[in-house]
Amino acid sequence: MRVVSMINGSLLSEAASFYAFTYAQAVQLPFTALFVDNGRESEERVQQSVNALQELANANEVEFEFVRLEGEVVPQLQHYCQLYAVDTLFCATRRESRLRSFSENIVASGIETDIAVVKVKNVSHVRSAKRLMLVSSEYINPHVYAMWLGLLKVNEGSGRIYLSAEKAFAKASTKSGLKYQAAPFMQIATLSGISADKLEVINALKPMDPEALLRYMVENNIDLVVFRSGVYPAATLNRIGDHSSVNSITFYPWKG
Amino acid sequence: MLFREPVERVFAHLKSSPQGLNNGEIMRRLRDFGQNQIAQSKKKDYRIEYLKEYISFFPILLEVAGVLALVADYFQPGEGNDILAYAVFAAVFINATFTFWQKFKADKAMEALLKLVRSEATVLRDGKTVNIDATQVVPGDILILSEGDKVAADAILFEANDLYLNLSVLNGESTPSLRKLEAGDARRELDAKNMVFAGASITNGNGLAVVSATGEATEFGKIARMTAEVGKTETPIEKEIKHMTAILTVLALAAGVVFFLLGWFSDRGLLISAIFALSLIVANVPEGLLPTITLSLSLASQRMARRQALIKNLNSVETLGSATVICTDKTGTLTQNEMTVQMAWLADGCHCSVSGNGYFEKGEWRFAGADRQGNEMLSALLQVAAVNTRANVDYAAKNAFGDPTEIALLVAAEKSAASIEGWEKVKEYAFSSDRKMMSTLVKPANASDEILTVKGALEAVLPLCTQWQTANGIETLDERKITEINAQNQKMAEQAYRVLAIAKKIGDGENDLVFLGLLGLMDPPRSGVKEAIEQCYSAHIRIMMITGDNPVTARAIGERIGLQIDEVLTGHDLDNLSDTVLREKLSESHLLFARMASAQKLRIAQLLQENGEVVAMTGDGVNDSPALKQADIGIAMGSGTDVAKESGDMILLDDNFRSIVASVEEGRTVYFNIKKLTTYILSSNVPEIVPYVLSFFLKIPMPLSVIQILLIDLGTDQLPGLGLGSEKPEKHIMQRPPVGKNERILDWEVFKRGYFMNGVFEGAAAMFAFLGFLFLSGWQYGNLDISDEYHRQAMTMTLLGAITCQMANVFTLRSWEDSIWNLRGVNKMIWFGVGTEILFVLLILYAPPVQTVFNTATVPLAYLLLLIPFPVLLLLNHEWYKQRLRNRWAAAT
Repeated sequence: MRVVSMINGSLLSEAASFYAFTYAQAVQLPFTALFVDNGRESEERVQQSVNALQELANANEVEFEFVRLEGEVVPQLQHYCQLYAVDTLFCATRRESRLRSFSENIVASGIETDIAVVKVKNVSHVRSAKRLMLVSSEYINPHVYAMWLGLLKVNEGSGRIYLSAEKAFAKASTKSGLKYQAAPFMQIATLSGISADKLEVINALKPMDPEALLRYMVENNIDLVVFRSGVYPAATLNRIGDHSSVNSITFYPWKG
Repeated sequence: MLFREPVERVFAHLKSSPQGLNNGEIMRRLRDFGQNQIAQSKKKDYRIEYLKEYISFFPILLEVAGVLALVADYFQPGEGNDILAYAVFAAVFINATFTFWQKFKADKAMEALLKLVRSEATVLRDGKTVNIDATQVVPGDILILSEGDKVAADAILFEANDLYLNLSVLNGESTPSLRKLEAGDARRELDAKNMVFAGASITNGNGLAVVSATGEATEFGKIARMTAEVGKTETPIEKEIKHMTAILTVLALAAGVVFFLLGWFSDRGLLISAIFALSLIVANVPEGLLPTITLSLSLASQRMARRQALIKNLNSVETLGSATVICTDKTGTLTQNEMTVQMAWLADGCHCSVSGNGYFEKGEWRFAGADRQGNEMLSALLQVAAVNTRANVDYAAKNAFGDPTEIALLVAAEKSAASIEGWEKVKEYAFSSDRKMMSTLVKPANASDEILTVKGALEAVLPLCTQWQTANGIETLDERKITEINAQNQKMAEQAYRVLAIAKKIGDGENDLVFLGLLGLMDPPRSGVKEAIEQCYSAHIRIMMITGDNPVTARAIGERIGLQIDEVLTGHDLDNLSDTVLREKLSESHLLFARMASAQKLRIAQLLQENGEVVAMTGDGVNDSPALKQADIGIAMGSGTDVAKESGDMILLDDNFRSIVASVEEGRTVYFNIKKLTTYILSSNVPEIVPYVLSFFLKIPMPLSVIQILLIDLGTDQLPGLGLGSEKPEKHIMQRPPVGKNERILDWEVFKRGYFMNGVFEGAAAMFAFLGFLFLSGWQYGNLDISDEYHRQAMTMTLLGAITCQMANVFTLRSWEDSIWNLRGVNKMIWFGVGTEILFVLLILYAPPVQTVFNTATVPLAYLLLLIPFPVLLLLNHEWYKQRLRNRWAAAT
């Protein structure tokens, strides 16, 4: 298995790759920088990105490889993911969400792997993600949790899990019922060496209103927010990402 | 944290270099990270805006009428119902398109004007210095920072020369903060000493910095995000238009239903009754009202732009007229924001004053009492004060950079013969809020000794002094002298001066200083502000000054400009007052708020609104945004932040209080102009309705067709109505109380004058012309079987009866209260409108194609004499009515 990040020589893709790299470092998987050359990108800038990532990998003792493919991006990616075992595919997306954007095309193409779409708003926060937030609906996806936890551990940060659990609220007659939902994840965090005082679970009846969420992230100095794709409708997620001052990763589990 | 990294790594992380980015990379980053802007309201989709024009009350009513006419035509073809339907649809289309076009044009005009207040940034790109729109700055760009610049984005410094940053827009702290190349022990960006931030301004020095964040990602953007949630309240004119259209729609529908039922029960048949009801609805709906109001507001906003007030939302124009309280900043709005030395007190007890306010007004020093022209003590004091600054003034280019107090010291020295040319700075002991003083070691021109020049608060400087300067030399500072100095300091502070103590010493070290004297500084009031405040009081508007300054200075300035002050409350007092108590204080008293934080403005605005006040609030910082949004009319300063401008309803281009008062006058004028044009348009509804009603009850031919009704509403009434909308302020507009929140445009007075006074004359004129023509042509009552040509001539007379009365109506309605004989100036738009009406009249009388469309015919000239009496009677009656009103008010007051 490997963690793959798409690069194209831009500041945006390089910044997004850093999150991928951090995750690879946390789960001790090889890190692959993947460049699909469709003739539109500068060789020089791609090489600069590769050098920067290589340097980072050497410094942190992470296995690194650079893969260069030629042709159209989506078919090449599909082919690559069929040949190699990919844990998560990271790709960057622009500030303003657009219909049929590059990242949307990749997500919609049905590539057989989990995809993390990174929206970098503040480059200077990429390397210092001290306050990480995970926004999830009823059930926390184990893979998105593992990624979030990995980023949290490597950055030695503190984390908040925002869990909107409407069904559990309806069923639970005591607070224990609610605690039960988050409890295993807290225990996993403890098992991975993260102290309990660095983690906080916020149980809520419904997903936070997007405007309130944007405010919450600013008020609590969040550096990185991770969403599971289904937690909000796609348009709302785009709106949050577009208007936020915080870097975000939207995780799309493969619906195999 | 990126700001803690060495500068080479910062460049590597941002993929940039000290020479800046190249064009290709800039375009890419603009696409990837977006433009460097925040708090942009969602762009309007003009297709949806246009469609909205078809779904408000009036259009829906007319659309239903059109569809019913088509249904009637299906069941009873050949009766002309199809033409009626098409005419109604055409009216809806014209109305919607015209209204939309006016709004669209106004939006575009506003966008163009807003571009004028955008800020710029100087950046290094591809090794070249370029000036760009601040929105085009991207991460990795190199900012070139100079004195007086507003920083465009968050950036990490890699070169800084004596760089001081004013961060008040972010943290409210107005003392400039020194920037260095080391981050210090900061754990977050805002505390990093090696960073500059979007929205902050450079008060001194220069530097180079690489941009680390733009747009929402900046610290400024984060604060803006927190303020984005305060909702905007509906403006009075929006409520009013809703109210007006609702009432007129109900009236039209009620009339339609009543006459439908009457027709049905009097055995006229379902279809005929329905058609009749539809015609009555069309007659009752004032189709031209909404586009005329929109145009009137649009013209007013253009007039206000010429008076330095840029209105962002047309509907806010009228809100200004309703303002009952103006909450205003002090600095820059009531005062010039140009700190000026106004007096000096020399250590030997001599008082001096200096003329000329602001930075660039000429002035000279005068001594009180004895003639001490060319006094060396004053020159020495001013030299010491001026050399101990970092400010810079370019008198030729009229530019001043640096801390306002320091600029004032340079200007004061310039007004005397105190030259500091050739003086060299050796060392500086920086100012800090703890030390409350600043010293500079200098070497005067042609002198061998170095001098330490000191300025600061008296409580900081005086304890370091052991001697004082006399005209003949130096004397030891004793208790008596210290008491005298302290008393003088107290006296000057009570007069609202900011007092600076000046001292010096030969050699280095902040001890054993020689006390030279005190300087009294003040930010002088703007010219014309006192008169504007008087005007507000006569217009029954309360003014509340809200300032961060101390209570003594604030009160003294307030008194100087004629503010009524019952009580001064500080920010601390406010925190200790419950909402109930504060609401009570706000209900009647003239309050002055000092030492206030921006956030407290929101509470004041909310409580004033709860008291039923219409609040106009000024502001410039990002922290002012919630209050600007909350206020009924938020007034952002032209020199303020983009977030404040985005939140405000109006931008004051010259930051001047006088312009606010001018806008209030314009707002009141708009309110009364809309009242006038509504009355004018309602008046013409009567001659449209009366013929239908009479033809129902009497045995007479139909006096007016639907197409002729639409000709009046959407044709002849439009331009004169617009003329009324652009009428100048009436003589006493600023002596009357503000328009109340519950005061309606469509009130009983408008109904009375429109329907029951002028309208009655118009209805009578129309029927007099119609029946007069018929009877003079030999028609017998009850004969409905008349020739088509004859009928068209009669209908033309009805139409002309209404149009000629409207010509007189527009002149008498030019004033709501004053006699038309006393009005100042000529309203060219009205004359143009009336000229167009005359042209219409000639066309419907003599142009066959027009006659075909509007169902009219040529009428012999002799019959037109029937049209003369009623317009004259209407005008005389309305003037007589206004005279009676004036007499009544005179008696009452």
